[in-house]
Amino acid sequence: MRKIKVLFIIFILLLTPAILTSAFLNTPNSTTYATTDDSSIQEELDQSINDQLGDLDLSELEEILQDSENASKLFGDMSFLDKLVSIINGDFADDSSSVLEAIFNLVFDGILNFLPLIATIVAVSILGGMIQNLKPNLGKKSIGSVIHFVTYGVVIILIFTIVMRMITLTSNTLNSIKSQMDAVFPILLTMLTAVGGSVSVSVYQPAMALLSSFIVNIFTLILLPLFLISTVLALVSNLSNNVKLDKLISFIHSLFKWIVGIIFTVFIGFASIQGITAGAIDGLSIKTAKFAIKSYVPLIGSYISDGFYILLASSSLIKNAIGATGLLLLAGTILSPILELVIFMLALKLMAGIIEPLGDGKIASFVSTLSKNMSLLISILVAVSFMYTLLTGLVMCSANLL
Amino acid sequence: MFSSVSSWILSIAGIVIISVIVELILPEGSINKYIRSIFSFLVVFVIVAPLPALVGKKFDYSQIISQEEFTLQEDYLFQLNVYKTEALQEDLVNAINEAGYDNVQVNVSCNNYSTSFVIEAIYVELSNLVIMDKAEHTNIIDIEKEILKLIVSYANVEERKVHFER
Repeated sequence: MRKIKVLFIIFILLLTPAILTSAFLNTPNSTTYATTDDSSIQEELDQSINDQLGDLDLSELEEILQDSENASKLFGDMSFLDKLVSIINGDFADDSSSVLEAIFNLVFDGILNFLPLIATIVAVSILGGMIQNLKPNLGKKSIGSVIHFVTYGVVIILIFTIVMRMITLTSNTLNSIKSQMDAVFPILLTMLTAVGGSVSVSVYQPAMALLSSFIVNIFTLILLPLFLISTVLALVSNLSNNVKLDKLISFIHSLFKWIVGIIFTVFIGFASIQGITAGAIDGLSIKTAKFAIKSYVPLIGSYISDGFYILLASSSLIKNAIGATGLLLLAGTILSPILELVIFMLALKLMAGIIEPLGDGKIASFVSTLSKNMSLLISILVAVSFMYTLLTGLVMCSANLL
Repeated sequence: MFSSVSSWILSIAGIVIISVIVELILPEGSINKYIRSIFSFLVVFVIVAPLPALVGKKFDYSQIISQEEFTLQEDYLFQLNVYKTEALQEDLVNAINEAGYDNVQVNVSCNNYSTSFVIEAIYVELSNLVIMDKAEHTNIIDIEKEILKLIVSYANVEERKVHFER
């Protein structure tokens, strides 16, 4: 649990600066050219960016954006290209209030959604507990077991309608993240090639293929079933006092955590170390080309390095802006599912807390085990999007002109 | 692989549910204790039963390991190579002009269909050469040397790729 919380916080921390700094991406470039005629070069840069954007095929991303309701809200009903242009121009931070508003709306909607469920389950289990306590003492234990069985059945049916919804939500979100990766990664690689980062491309191409096929497959085909298994075991384990399966559940939990941990560490370690090295090599080769002329003709160097480098500069601006816009799209996709899962998890914990003193101990322990399970679902989404964010951020950082 | 896992989980769930129901139905008595222990044994058996089969079994990983290749947007890269060639030509003419030699034609030739921008050859046409006042050299061989040095350092190409025509 603590691990997941830490992960979540790191993820948020990484996501915010990545998106926010993209607003200032074009400032370093404009200062470089400030020594020469400022406005004409700005014009030339804008012209070059427009030309290049006209040639780039973004239709796949536009489709994904149109399909996702939350993402279009986060984009302020702009198309992907419009948002891209506005990020390149640096007006990004304007709509932060609308983003916050969207988040608050999601949170309150989620709480209101789960309120009836919490009330019903608490009522049923307290009723069951009261009957249990007030039943005539006929010397028969089995009446108590029957009451428990019935109450438990009702609680299970109520909770599982939501749990199934959460599972489909998670797997849909995973699929959507995958389709975003499949759309964004080729464009990022194209831009990286355009800037001249051939070493970076050779590092990131396999890393991206690994993430979008192998790792996503492990998450959908192994980790999601593991969640289902531990949920079913939690259900069965609290049916009776005789058969307890808590240790088997904790085995499944630690299996899950180890798989996630190993994938995470290995992937991020390799991608970041190789990526940073390759990015440095590419940056060096771009810079040597740039500074060669300056050392040869010191007076006119800055004038000459215009045309060709404006092309490269606009390509690298577009590359970074596509990364930032892609991350914004990701944020729009995962924000609502993750918030919903977190609220459901907290609601389960609250339920367990209310039921425990008054009602049935076994129902309380079932609900609290289920809330631990929900954190597995959250960690699936957070881990995949974290790896995606990190890879995109690395691509944005590497083979830059400056 | 996945169906066997789900059948394993279902059988665990099934045996536990059966044991609970049996416990409900059975009357209180000394026999109850034995039946409970029998069911505990059964649960352990169901959990352990599929494990020996795992030893030495070959799994089918093909579903998980599916290789994917990302294709670059070659139309865009082609167009960008064209832009780059034009920009480089213009820059070189400007640079040579700045060094004092007017009316020099520079033709950059590169493979636009490759994904990366690699210069194959640079042709410099000196037939209409106009030597301005600020030029350092007037001798055509010295001029060629200077222009060659300029082009090599600017476009980052090898000397043998630069060809002169007088």
